[in-house]
Amino acid sequence: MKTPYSITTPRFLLLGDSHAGVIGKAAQAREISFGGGPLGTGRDFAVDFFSLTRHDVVFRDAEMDRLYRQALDTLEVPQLAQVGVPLVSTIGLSLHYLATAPNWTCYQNAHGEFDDGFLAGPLFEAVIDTLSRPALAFYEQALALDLKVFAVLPPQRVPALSDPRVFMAAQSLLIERLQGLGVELIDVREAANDELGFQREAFCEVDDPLHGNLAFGELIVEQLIRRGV
Amino acid sequence: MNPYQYLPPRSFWRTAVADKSAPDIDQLWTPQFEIGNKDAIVTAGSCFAQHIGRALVARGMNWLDAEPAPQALPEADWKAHNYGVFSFRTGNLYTPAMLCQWLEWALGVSAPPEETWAHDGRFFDPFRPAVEPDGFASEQALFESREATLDAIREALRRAKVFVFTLGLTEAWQHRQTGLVYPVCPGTVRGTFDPQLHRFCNFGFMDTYGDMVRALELMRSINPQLRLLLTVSPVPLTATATGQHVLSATTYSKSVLRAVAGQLCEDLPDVDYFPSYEIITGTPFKGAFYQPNQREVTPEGVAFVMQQFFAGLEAVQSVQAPTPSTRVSSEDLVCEDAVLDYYA
Repeated sequence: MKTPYSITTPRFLLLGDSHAGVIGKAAQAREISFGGGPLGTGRDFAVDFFSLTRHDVVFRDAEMDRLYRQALDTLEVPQLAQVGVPLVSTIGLSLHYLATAPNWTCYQNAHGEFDDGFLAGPLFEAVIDTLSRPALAFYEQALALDLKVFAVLPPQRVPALSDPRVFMAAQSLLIERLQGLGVELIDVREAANDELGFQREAFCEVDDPLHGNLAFGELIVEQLIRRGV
Repeated sequence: MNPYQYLPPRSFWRTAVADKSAPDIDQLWTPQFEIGNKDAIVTAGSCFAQHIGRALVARGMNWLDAEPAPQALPEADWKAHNYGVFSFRTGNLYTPAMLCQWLEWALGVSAPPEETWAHDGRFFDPFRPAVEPDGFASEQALFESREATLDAIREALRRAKVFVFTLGLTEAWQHRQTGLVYPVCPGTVRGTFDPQLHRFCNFGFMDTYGDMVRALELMRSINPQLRLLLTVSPVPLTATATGQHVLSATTYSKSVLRAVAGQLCEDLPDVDYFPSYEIITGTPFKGAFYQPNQREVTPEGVAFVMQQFFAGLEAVQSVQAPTPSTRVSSEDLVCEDAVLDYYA
């Protein structure tokens, strides 16, 4: 019987925040070879987290860079420009972090409401763009090095300390930004969400306020395979 | 949407330069790595690098003096004997080729040369002829002194967190047979010029780049974590042997050095460039930081350069300051656990 895909040749490079974990675990469960995994947490990517070289990126944090180099080693390439498989990334899509509620109260009235149009307005765009600038720059670099890039939307889970209105508005804006750059989205919301637009319990990690579970990772891997990864 | 929409005001000439008075121009340097007060910093290179060491000491930073003056030497004589000028007593290292040379001697890659220059019964080191103003009493004393400097280089490399190197020149004189590079043309400060033995060379981009890569490889062979901070001296050439006008020759030389510094930052990790050259020579400053001879830099110019240096360091330290644990939310801790769990 012919194997539909190689189980030894790495099929993608996975880089991201903690949400990348279940993607990697689901790929491992299906015996799909890949390199990488989570490099840090969402907040690690909201700062100037990398520098550019002509053919690569260098993560400023030594541990992140070590994990990144380890991922490249798995793919047997020395730098990003030589990665011949798609990049699958969750970088910059830690929406619960962007939506951290105390950061947004200053834009709300005494009743906790935003002004009409605030979440679709230029100030909100400017704040999200600023917080996401390093991540978007990372995607720009990957695209400039001719990589095919898939960005994976996070689980639609909003922990208690985050504002769901900001979460959703930031997600819409980042989808627009990423698509504008030419990044392809992996979006399993239709399969994983309930009628209110939040993640169904069947796809939530148990005893965890924000991550998806292995079943959620499987939805993502399934979509990646359908998209030719 | 376009990439310029995400850029800060410092990226645009109008907001960063044209709309400001010269002294208010800021954010000229965004360090690629943090340099803490306790991090050992080594300085070497062209004469402009001397200012950096002094300023680091004045600022309370950990400038490494790996070859301190002997106790018997009065402090007033330290500078004349090249103590406390750079982290070790090599004198000015104008070119990366010279840096490589000293590193190869220090690390045992090649044997130090035996050539000496004699004058009035005193002996001078061709590779640092001004380091002892009156020369050495004997060749033996010269070689012993050089060994002490090679020890200091090894010690400095082992202890350094950051190596600051100021690129100065591309023009140099070489020994025709050995290929060794002299810091100054034989027959100028000391020695005798012999066209049969000495030849002029003007290192181009490829030579200069290759020498710096080699130098970094040598340094990291005993200190893999060493970070390199490059600067380019804004001090023009005293003279050129190219036959060109000295102004054109200066532009060529500095352009090569600046391009090499930029390329190294692009290509290699933990290599950064501090723009002292631009700060002094940039058109917004209208040459105001030069002495009347239009060559040497005024104390105000040096102060402005170092002000920008420390402002850059402070900015990156405030950005990269660790988040107090009390501000890490439970969600963040969950994320960290998830990352750790993945690699468990």
